[in-house]
Amino acid sequence: MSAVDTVPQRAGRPDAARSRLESIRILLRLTLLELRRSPMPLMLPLVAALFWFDALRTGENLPAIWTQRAAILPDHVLPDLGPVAAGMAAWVGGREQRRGIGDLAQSTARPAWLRRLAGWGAATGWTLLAYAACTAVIYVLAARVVNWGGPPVWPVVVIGLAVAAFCTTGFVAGAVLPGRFTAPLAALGTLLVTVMIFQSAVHAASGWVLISPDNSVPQLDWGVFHPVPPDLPIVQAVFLLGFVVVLLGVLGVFSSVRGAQLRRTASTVLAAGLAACVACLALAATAVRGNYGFDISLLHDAASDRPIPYTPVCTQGSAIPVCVHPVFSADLAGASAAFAPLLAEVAGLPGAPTRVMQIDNADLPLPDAGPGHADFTRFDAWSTLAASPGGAPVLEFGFGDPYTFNMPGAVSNLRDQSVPLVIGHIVAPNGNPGPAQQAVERALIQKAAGAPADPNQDPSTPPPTAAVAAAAQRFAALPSAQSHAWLVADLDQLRSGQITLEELP
Amino acid sequence: MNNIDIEGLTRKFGAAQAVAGVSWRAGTGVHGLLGPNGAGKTTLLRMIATVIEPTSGSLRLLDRDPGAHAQCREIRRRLGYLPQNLGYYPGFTVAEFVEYFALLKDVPPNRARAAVAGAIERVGLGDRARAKLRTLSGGMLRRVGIAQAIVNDPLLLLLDEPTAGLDPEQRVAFRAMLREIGERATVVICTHLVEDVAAACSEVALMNAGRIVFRGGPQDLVARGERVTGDGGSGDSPLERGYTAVLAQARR
Repeated sequence: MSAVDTVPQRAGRPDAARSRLESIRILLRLTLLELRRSPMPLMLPLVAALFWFDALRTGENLPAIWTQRAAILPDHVLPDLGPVAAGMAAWVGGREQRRGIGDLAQSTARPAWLRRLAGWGAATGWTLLAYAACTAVIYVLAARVVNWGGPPVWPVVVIGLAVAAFCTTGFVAGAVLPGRFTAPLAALGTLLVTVMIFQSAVHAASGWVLISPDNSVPQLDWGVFHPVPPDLPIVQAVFLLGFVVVLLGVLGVFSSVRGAQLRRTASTVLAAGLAACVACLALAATAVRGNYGFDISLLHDAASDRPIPYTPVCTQGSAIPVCVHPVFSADLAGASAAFAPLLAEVAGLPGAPTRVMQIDNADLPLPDAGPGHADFTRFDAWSTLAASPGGAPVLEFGFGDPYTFNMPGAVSNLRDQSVPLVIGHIVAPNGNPGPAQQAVERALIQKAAGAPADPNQDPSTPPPTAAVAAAAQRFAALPSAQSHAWLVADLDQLRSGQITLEELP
Repeated sequence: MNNIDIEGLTRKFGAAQAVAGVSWRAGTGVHGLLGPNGAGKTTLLRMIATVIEPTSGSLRLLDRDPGAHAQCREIRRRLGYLPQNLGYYPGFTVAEFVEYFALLKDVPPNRARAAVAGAIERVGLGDRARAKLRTLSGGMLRRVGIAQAIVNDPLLLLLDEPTAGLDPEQRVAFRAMLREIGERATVVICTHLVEDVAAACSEVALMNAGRIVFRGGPQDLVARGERVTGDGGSGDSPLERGYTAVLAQARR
């Protein structure tokens, strides 16, 4: 009696479910064997070196925001790990042919697809282990500096699947086209994919190219005030999963030269993967850049756009507090310094903002775009004057560059926007300022912004007359305490037009 | 029952015909397949091992048709095969390599470990079970190949040059093992070494130019040598003389 005959179910037609279960058990055992002896760990030193040199060093300089830190995964970890994994997997995929195992393996009962799946499983397992280690390091280091929010999961899922897709591509290439050049070509090919195709998708605002897992540099406050919508990551993940399934189907078709049933199964797997890929490409083509990420109308859940609650961090002890989102608490001092000259001039005046508040960039109206289209590719920072729910004015601002408050030009721009807004609101809340109001505005702007007001800044404001300019110079020359005291006492009269140029101190 | 039933089997590689109409039936026992280089022995063995398909002719193994996928799988579950050039994964240990093939041969996972240990013991590598294959000598690797071939207790065991690299002591032990397996299974040894055939085989088939030119017991081959020695047979042993005589006759 042979070893295989000793199992009862083998004597007759095996029950299909038991047979499948046993196939899975055998696949698991084979995969464990392959995992133990896979040459994939040989890539780990190279991956570690690339990871340290590229991903880790870059990550240290990124803002301490989860979405920014998570962007290291598509931008650096994928190009560092993917091509190496693809090359190694191609080497492993072609191993059977290279080692002359073909005849021996082909004479065994289990289909070639099964043993190749075991090899693929081990190669992918090691690759994902390396990826998990890289991700863990990035997230642990991020957790030490990020002071608000939690680690985003979708980038981990999408890039994990992308890495698996790279590995699978290499493995299938190695199995289908075994040869000494397959491994380097697989590594080079996948590197080119990351460099050329992925990078061309980085600045895309719409279109199927968004299916690329590395398609966007997240804006500074994405995922801070509102959650990043999961629409596109879902589509990307399903596409990558479908792509892996397609490749495994190709492997199955290639491995099942004999056996119509296996070929049918492999073809079905291939078709299912292909269908998923096509559907996801079609969905990605409908994606548009929204306020908080990319939206796909068919998948978008409006509930996911609800703001994330937070308690702002504010300056203490000042008459008008400056507040930022806790994620940006490191920028509080910079923001406070940027607004300090203005706030010193207007504190205590009727109509002055009760606080200065950082808001979601998406809610800031930009000069040439309406609200909800804040794009900080041209503006480092911007501000607007709004009313709080109680009606008190609030100076709102946002910034799109992590170094905004270290850049004198950006700070100057921010002052140039906010100072006329606030002072105009205080001195002439109803618009159409009279000569005295114009003079005080110009004087205050000069004091608060540290430079004479630009007469061309607001085209709706008529150029000042010589008398207005002279009065403004006179008012600006007053000590701040004196001009401030005068405003506290006489602002109502100034607003109502009861004060002439000559009456200005 | 004939575990091997071949009728008019041919195999072509392009224009070259490696096997040219072989008919052969073999039941339980140890069968030697002899022949010079290029005679078609390995090609015939690869067809019987279901590695390559015949160009024409009929092939039935273990009373099943290897051309039908389900039946082929049944054959392979009961098949042991040692190819002429044994490939191996150098990073695997002896036990892992044998287990790998045990699983591929459908040995149930819960019995695989015991089957592997038994096979490794039978080829005398019990003390090297955890050694990496890259550390083994050629003879030891050959024994690993034999272990994987017998791990599923095959009913049809095909060995291509199994004793290449084995020392005399190992060869003696190996032949004894073959005789034991041959009591209940069909064993085919493809070899150049006539002493292996003399010591272990109950039947011999001699191939030349893709055809079987002699079939019978080792004694029959010896007798052919004695009969035709003056007619071209040469060699150091009676079996060798029979071998060369038959070949000389076939080439005429």
